[in-house]
Amino acid sequence: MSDLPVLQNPYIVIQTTQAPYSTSDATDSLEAALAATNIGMQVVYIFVGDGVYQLLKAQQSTLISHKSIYKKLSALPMFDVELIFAQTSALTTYHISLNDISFAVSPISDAQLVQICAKATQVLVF
Amino acid sequence: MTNTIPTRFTLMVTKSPFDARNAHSALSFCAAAIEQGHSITQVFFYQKGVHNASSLLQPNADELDVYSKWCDLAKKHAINLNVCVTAASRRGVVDAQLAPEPNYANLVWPFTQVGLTAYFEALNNNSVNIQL
Repeated sequence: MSDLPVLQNPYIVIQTTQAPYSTSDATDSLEAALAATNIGMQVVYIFVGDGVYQLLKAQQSTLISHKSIYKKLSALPMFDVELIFAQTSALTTYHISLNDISFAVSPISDAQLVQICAKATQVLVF
Repeated sequence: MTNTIPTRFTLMVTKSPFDARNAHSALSFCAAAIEQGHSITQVFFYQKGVHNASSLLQPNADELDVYSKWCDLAKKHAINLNVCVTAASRRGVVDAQLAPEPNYANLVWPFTQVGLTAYFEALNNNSVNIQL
């Protein structure tokens, strides 16, 4: 298991756990992250479970008249959300690779996920 | 009353009142917390939770009137009932300013429309977050 990233300042965790378009959870978690960084909070954004489906670059959301969640996610670093992780076990289960992703997402084990959440000031799950 | 250190809680309610028991649980939590000497900084309604704020809710006679319970709680204990303006307007829960005509407003005091940042500002203020 690789070392945990150094997270020295207080931070909140936002877990996004749902696939991108069947519910509004993916959009809502993204908007929550942007609001938190807007007031200077440090946000750790984690794709958990079905949430890793949001990382599929080839999603063609225009077919269902929806803006691409992937494109919105790729703008996260521009809004100071730079600590972005994805649950390795979910990536493995759903055969999703982080290689094609155009923004930095680091895989974390379930144990690391727990450690990151344990040290957070708040954890929100969408 | 128990001998505990008073804690400030912020609640985030994310489910509509009649599709899930989250609102019931949130109301029970608020009552229990206040009873034990804690305080509720704000209840924030996000996602489908914004439906709790609609003054047009008409529950059946044998169901809990969640809207009235929230109003009673807010008035009795001066709790802020904050509703995410984006999530609410998407779902047709609007105050007089956003309604096409003021008479169509279904979001009225003690509920207030705020931005998501208001919720995170409360969290920054040493509040313990409860998400329901």
